[in-house]
Amino acid sequence: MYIYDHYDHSLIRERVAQYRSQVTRYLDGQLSEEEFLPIRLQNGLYIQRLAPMLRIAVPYGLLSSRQLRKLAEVSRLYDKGYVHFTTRQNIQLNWPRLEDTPDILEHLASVEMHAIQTSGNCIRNTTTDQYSGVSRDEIEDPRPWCEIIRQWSTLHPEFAFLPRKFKIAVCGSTEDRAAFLLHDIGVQLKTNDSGELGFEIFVGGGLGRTPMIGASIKEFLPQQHLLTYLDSILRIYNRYGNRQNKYKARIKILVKAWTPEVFAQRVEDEWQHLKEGPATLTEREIARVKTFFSDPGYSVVDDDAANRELDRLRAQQRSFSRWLDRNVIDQKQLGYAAVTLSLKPMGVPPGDVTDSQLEAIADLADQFGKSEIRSTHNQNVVITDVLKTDLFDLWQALKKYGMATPNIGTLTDIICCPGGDYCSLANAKSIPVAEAIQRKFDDLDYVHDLGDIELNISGCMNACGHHHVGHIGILGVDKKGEEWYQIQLGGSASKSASLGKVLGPSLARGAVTGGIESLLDVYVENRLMDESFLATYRRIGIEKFKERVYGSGA
Amino acid sequence: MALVLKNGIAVEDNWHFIDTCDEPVPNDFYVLPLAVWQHQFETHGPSDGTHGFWINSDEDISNCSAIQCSKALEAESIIAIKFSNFTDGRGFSTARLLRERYHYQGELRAFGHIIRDQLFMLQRCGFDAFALAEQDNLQSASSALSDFSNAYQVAVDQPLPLFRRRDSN
Repeated sequence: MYIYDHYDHSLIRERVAQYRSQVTRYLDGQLSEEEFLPIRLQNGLYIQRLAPMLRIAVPYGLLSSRQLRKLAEVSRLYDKGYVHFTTRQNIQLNWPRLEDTPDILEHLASVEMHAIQTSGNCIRNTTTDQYSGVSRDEIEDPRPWCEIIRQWSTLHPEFAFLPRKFKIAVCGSTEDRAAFLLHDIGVQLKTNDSGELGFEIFVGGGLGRTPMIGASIKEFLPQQHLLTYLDSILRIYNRYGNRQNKYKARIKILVKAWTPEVFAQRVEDEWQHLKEGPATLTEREIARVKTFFSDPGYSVVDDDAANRELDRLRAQQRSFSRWLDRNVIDQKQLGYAAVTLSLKPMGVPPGDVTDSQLEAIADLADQFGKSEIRSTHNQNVVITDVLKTDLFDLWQALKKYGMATPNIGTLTDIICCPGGDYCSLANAKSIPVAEAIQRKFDDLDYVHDLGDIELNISGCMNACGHHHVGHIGILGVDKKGEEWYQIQLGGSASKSASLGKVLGPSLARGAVTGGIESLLDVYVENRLMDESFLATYRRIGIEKFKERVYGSGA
Repeated sequence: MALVLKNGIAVEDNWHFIDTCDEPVPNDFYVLPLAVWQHQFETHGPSDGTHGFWINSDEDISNCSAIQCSKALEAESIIAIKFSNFTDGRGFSTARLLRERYHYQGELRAFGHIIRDQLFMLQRCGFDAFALAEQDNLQSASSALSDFSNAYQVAVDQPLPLFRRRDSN
């Protein structure tokens, strides 16, 4: 994990001091509401329906157990004793007082954390794969590159007032677990024919009102040029992105209007001025950042023996076996596993964890892992580097804290925005819909038999719940003051990314679970062998699903 | 007379800003709209340092042929960028281009709607003069120029990124 030196430390301390003076000036009436707004947003502070909400940055989803304990303490001191994991791997406090936020940031700074650029029209937290450094399909560890991007984007003087928010994701593996094609910039690590490391650069992906899949504008960018090329993209966007209409202000609209080819050429022209300039990465810097993410030291373990023992335990305990199937993956380091802690048990808003759960996660990461955890864009938490021989003990400990629900990647592992219960932008509530679905489909055998299904819920078309890329997506809409829900099918955030299609007219809240049940019935009746929900949908199309939900007259 | 922050110090402003070409032009120290300045440049050549031009933050200086002529900016004493709204970030890019691509050396002023919280970043992009609305607190606002003691990125004020300056590198 990256460790701050005195430069990084002084920068976030100075940011806290700057923010504290801004809050003071606002409270004294020296800073207007209009002027305070972008300033507080750039520091993660929203004014929500019920209270302010503070979004804390978790750079590329990586947290130490020390940071978790600090978050638990902060949530107890300044909030209601719980925090929320977001779909951008960040953490939110839902009930802080505005006056307390500078003190909260002071606490966070002591453990190398901050809230810089977690909101506002600026470059946001860079995200990546939760299995970085441990997955078997990894081409190159994306974390050093995320850290290099983090430093470059932090308080970038030229790009603090962009037309709209700007999100970057990095993918270092063959499978995509970062949804990088749905970001303003998607960076895919790759090697060229000579074996040199570089990137393929995609631009213009994104969700929201106009969902789009990113287009490739640079097939191979040698590694040392990453920052000058990013500067070029951002400068073109900053100068030419739409600033009149916020719904047309994302980079995807510019890329579409110009075409990806023309956009690529404009970036290329700009880049000719910056290429080989002082922002070109040095070998030393790349090596320096990589040392923070080097192998934490693994024991030599008899993997076969460990697997045999797991099989023996599986036979004895069906629920342990289920948990292994859904929540545990083998690491590339033999004998080690990465474990996903489900933050989606029934009856709890997806992604919410209490202070004592945070402390339990910290203890378990110390005891069974390497004192490090990752947050996922599916709003769960991963402990990596667990010896397979420890899995049974870890499972038992997790059960005690309600974090062993074996539902990762299934129907009930729902991605869900805070919705109308909290968010002032929402048209409809989303958490009660998620809960109703979890209650309806509480039979684990049935849920496991359905296999991989991504069900995503957003309370408005800003799409924080990623409904466009759910295999089943649910979008809350407002019809004359009533909450209705539009169903979409066939979305996917994987490398073969696709956007969902609207099934038909919106459903009333009470009809949503029944509608989902009909969709699942059509799948079960039509699937071939081990075919997933998405594969079945892609093969048979939308009509059969539509007929079942709305009747043959639809 | 209005005060401006120049190189961190509040000083009296002796420049006259001219909004349209219809206004009478004083003899000295006037700042013209870009189109008027361009016309003057094309007919009379570079000024003798007694005038400059101002542009809106939404104007694209890459379209201005005179700016692309390297001689044009050498003799100018002031260029001012007007922010119609403080959230319009285009002026930040324009400033860097003027300094880094067109090698402009004279005064680069931010005016219009800017706030003290932006001073540090504006300065990094090459501005050295600021016309702020808060005239009474100008000197205290100037402390925002040193909100941070360092920065990660290359910019006009620091041509080397932090990674080329870190102790360990």
